[in-house]
Amino acid sequence: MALTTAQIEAKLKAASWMTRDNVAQEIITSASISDLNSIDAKGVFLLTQELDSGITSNLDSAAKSLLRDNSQYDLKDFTLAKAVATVKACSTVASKPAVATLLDVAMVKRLYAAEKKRMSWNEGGSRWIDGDSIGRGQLKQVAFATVIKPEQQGFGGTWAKYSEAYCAAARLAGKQLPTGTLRTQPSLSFTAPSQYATVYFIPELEDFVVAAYLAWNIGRSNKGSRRSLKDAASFGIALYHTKRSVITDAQTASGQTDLWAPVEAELRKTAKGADICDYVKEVLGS
Amino acid sequence: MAGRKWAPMALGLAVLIGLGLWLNRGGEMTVTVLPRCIGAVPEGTLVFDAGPMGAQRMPVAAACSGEAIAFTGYDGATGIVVTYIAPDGTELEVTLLPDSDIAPDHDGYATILDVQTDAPQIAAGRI
Repeated sequence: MALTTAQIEAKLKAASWMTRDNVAQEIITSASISDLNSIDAKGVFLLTQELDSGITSNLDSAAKSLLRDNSQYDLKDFTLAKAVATVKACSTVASKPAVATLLDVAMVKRLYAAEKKRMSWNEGGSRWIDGDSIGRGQLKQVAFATVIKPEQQGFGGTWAKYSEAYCAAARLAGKQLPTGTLRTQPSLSFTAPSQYATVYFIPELEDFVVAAYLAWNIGRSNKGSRRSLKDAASFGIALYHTKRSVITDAQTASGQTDLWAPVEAELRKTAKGADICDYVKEVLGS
Repeated sequence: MAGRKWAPMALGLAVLIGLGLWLNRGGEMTVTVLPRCIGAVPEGTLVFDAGPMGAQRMPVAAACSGEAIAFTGYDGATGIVVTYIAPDGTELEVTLLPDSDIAPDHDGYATILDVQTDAPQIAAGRI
């Protein structure tokens, strides 16, 4: 029978605060491998909280290692591939062919490279002197606020699960969690990060947000009247990078709203517009 | 004497911290309406009602020639009601909805209003 969080919580609560780390050790060492693997994120937070608090003994460390080695939460799993796959499976974009067909790990890597190429001296190197668009994906809080909106509008539920799983893995690996995610009083609870400034310097979480915001823009551009998936992705990438007014002006001037080629031709009349088109090509990989 | 030695470094550090804070400054969000006028511009007037953020009224030609239509203090949850008033007084109303029509746009939020001569003269647009 799986070890439930309620059982873990009850056993820890029944013990005095002096002996709770011993109880946490006992829970872990007496559990089967499959039991340890089935412990959910809250169970991991509860156990590691007791094992990490106060003076950490060798037995505490050994129990934590045993839990880490057999937990479903492994920091190594939080790759860019996992972030992209999780985003693509979210109902907000799952039905959008341009996202399903064209968004992949390589595209996000190309986006990071395209942003890096365009960063000024103060961006990307330091948290303290970065601009208001931040990190490898150069996003602002307003973009993050869209990503964490509820499903159909954003990726909120998926983000909550993903960030909680990451934090459980990070806790097992002894890494710092984003500010304000884990409350211990009055009872232990997890809150998904809501400020991009506390998220973007954790690459595993930044990958999710950047992939989600790119998917969101491509998904919105994948409208019924636009038949080419590549055109949908081109408009989506352009929107990730630049203001809507730049694109609507080019659409108005070209008299064309669905096709990318006439809008690109219009944009290329200025240096700034040409850079947007180059950015789109770089990210699209064509 | 030691204080004199450290003073320029402290001043430099203060300047760097100030610069960092200035670069990370935030601000009140603005929502901008972007008229996308394809083809001939219809005669008439547009009224943009953004609820607590205020209202703006202008000829369609002005809206299509780039006159700014922006509202500050956007909360990400309020819609904008746009009314087209034709020269004969008939009205057409469109509500630009948060999330579906109003989208984050780098420095704030933006929404597209398609404008055309044939009916319907106005409609919510999407890039």
